[in-house]
Amino acid sequence: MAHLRTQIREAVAGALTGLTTTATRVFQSRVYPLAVTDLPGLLIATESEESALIEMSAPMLMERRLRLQVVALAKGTADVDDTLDQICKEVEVALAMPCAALNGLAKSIELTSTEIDFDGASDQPTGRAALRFEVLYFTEQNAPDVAQ
Amino acid sequence: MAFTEDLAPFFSVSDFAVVGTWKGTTSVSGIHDDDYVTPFGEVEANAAMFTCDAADVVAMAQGDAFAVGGVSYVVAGVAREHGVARLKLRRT
Repeated sequence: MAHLRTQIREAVAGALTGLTTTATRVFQSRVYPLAVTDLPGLLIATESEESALIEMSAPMLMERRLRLQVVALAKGTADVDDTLDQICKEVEVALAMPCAALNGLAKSIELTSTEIDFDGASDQPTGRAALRFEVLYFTEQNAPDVAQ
Repeated sequence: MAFTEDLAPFFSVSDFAVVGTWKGTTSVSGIHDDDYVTPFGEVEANAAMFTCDAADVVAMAQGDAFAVGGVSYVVAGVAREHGVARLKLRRT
């Protein structure tokens, strides 16, 4: 099986696919810019993770706190801020605990911050909302693909 | 002796200039750029600009309608410098 981090990212992508505003325009760890036809859309990336041993006898249990980012992108002539807020609402509801998609993978997922920004350099206003989540999950040290 | 620049050759439609339409009625010749830009590094987009003789758009203001290349825009900004105006265009 894949690393649990991969499973969690895939599960989040699944939970966010089909939302009213962003539909199937959901992309994981994408490094190239979205086309206009991909908007409004979501980018999902696992940014970093803190981990610590919480049992000293083998197999050692690890507590892992994964920082997962969901970026909402929208573009338009008006009300880009409203569109971003609507997307945020849909994402927050979809990932609220108990999150069925993460059942059996993670203990919790928590929204820790939202940063909103706008850009007027292009021919239509573009907006970005970055939602940062912390996902708590446990694995044994020698089995990072199996949730505990 | 003061030097007066003749900008007409820079905005000649015989060369690289095209004709835009200001407020649906006034023709303005200038250089139309539609550069590729990537807001936030995450979205593909274009940044439309129109560079022309400032004397041709003295009364132009933000919000004015402007059309060029078959695309309708709104003037989002007017930068005037050394007799040249650079219009930042927002697609409608």
